Amino acid sequence: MSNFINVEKEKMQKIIKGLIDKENYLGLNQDRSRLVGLGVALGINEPKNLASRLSLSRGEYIKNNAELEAIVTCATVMHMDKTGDLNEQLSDDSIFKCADECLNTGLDIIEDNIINKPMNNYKLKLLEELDELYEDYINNI
Amino acid sequence: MRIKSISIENYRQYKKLEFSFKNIKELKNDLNIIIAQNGVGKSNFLNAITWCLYEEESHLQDKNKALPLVNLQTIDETEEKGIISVKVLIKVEVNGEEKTIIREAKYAKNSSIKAKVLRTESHLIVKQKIFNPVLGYSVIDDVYDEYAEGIVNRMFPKGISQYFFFDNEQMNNYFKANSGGAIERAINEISKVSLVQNVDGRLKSAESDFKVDLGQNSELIDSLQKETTDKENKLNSEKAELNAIKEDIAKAINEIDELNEQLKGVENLKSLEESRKTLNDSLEDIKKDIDEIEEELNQFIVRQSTLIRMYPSFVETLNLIDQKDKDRQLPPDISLEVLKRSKDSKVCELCGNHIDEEHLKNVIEKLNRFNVATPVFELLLGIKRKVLELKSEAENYPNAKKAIMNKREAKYAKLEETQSKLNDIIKEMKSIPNQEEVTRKIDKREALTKTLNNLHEAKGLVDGNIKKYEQELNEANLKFENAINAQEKAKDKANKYNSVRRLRAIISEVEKETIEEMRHEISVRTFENFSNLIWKKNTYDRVEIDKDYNVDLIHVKGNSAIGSTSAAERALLALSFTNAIHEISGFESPIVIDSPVGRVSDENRRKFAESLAEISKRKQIIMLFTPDEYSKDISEVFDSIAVKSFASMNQSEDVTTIKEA
Repeated sequence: MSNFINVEKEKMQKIIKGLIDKENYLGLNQDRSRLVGLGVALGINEPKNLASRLSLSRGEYIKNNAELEAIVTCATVMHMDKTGDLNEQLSDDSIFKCADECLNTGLDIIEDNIINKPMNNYKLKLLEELDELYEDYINNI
Repeated sequence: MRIKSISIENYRQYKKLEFSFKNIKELKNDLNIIIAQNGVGKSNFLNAITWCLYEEESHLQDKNKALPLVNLQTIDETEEKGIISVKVLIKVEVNGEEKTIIREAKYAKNSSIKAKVLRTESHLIVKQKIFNPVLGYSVIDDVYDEYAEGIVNRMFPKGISQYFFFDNEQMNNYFKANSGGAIERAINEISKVSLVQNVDGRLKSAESDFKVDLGQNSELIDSLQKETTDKENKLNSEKAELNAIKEDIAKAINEIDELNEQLKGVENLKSLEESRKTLNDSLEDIKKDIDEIEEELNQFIVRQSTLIRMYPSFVETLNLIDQKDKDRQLPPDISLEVLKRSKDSKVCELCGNHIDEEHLKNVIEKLNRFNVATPVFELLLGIKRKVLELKSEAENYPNAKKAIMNKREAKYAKLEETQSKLNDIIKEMKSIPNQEEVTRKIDKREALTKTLNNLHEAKGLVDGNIKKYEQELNEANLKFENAINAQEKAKDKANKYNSVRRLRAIISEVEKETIEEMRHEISVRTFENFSNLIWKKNTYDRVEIDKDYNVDLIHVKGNSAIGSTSAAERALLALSFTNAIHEISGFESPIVIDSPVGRVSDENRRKFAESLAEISKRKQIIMLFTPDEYSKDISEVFDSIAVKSFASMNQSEDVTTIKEA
């Protein structure tokens, strides 16, 4: 069983040190667990498989964090075959693989957001986007 | 009494001036107005009068203090070692009779220094008609020097001359703290208590002599006499200390008043600076709060971005868990150990009830589900509670957003408001010139205020000491009196001593009562006059003169109002006080005022002029204005009721002439 989440090391470093630290985008440099959670959520609809590995310990980011564990498990449930073998599909390896893939996509989106972030009121624009998402995902169900 | 004319010769700017103060019968008012630019000789016209009467120049400006009082052109025209006569002649009419007051001083021109003259002699002459019983008709009699001074003093008592001849500065300062002395002198002068005080002084001296004399008869009396002297010295020393403190208090109050005057309009610099600092601090705090709110908002956006996007997966996962629960594939939501113990004891550990056969089957079924559950089902069960929480938090997004955005908006509004206030203050501060000087004055005022508080404390202590020494002195005097009355020898001297003491007590009582009466009468008359003149009716209740002769105007609400009156009101109160002094003293002297409206603000000038016009119906008023002071609102009041003249200077600015308009 792998001990590491499978994301592009350079990308993570670039985003964290180069962009998030520099711009303090949404305060994400203060809590990497939040970055991982957001990354998974942003990439949940389009997980991306990558070969390289990054030294993010599972224990540090997921196993010791009940909330993150719930999030990555739910992300995995979204993508699994509900008729297949649950034991296999919700094994640690499967969950971490799914988290890796979602996070890879999510980090791309975060990078894009930071680079293309509107200069003024970008937070209000993000809130507008959330309002729409809330309508689509929650209110209209 | 009125001043009919004045002739000035070689006095300062007035080389040769003959000027009559006309009293036109058609006019109800006896009002003469002289208009002159600054520097032409307005103040020196007033000085010429006081020099003639008292040989004093009470209104001398600084620039003239270094110059001789002899006209500069005359000095130039006079040969070396030549004699110049400086003369001021005032004709007054008293009860229909004319008196001429002449002050003449002779000056010798010193050849070595330009404009340097030395006074050689000075005389005061009063020419008046007296009835010659030998001739059987009146003749003009010339009275010289000290006899002339006596006549002048009876017409224009020097002790209260400042209530006949004054300028706006004096009017403004009339009731300042250190004016108590002048007012006390005026009241003493009018009430003639100085006569009584002189008698008391002589009796006091006699009392001391008797005491020493009586002390020679016995050692006891001698020691008691020394004790009374010692107590008296201590008392006098404390009284002197009290007077010194009072003077310092008056000085501090006047300096504070002066600084207040100078700081008018700019005195808020320091409070502005304090407000600026406070607002700056508030701004920093608000910015910190905003940083915190922005960080809170960041976390909120990140969290809700995560939760709302994850929402469908939460729903799906919870559905899956529910389904697996229904299929009994999940372990029960209860501890394995609790189930085991409950099964063994047949008592439910959760509710405490006995477990019957039917319920036991249920417990066993739950225990079996533990046996079949895999780690995956344990994981799903483990995250269920957390997923429910996250789902609920996502659903609450609108409310949470509203709360945080309201808080954020309120802080930004506060930031804007504070920044705007700060900008206004900075703008106001920038508009104040000489900020360093203003700050220095404000600091000085604060220091003086502290000094004043200390002085008041010191005064309280000295007051206490005086009471203590007065009591001790009374006791010592009593012991002394008992001792001398008990002895057989020198009975006669003891009786004389006792008589002097009784007499002094009576005199002291008379003095107190007279002054008290006078003080009361002046207060009442001043307020009557003031009430007639003041345009603000029903605002003030009375005038009070306290034991330190400080004059106060009391508001109808009972509080002291002298400190908050306008310059016009203060000037009017001064005029009312002057009039009261005139009326009570019987010295119906004319009033000569230099720059009467110099300190009166625009809106009150007309009202003040109307009040002066009212007074001029009862007594002669001579006023000196600059053309600026004699503004439209003033001229509208005076032009039709006054005789107006203009003073002007020659090109070399050493000779002034006055011509009727």
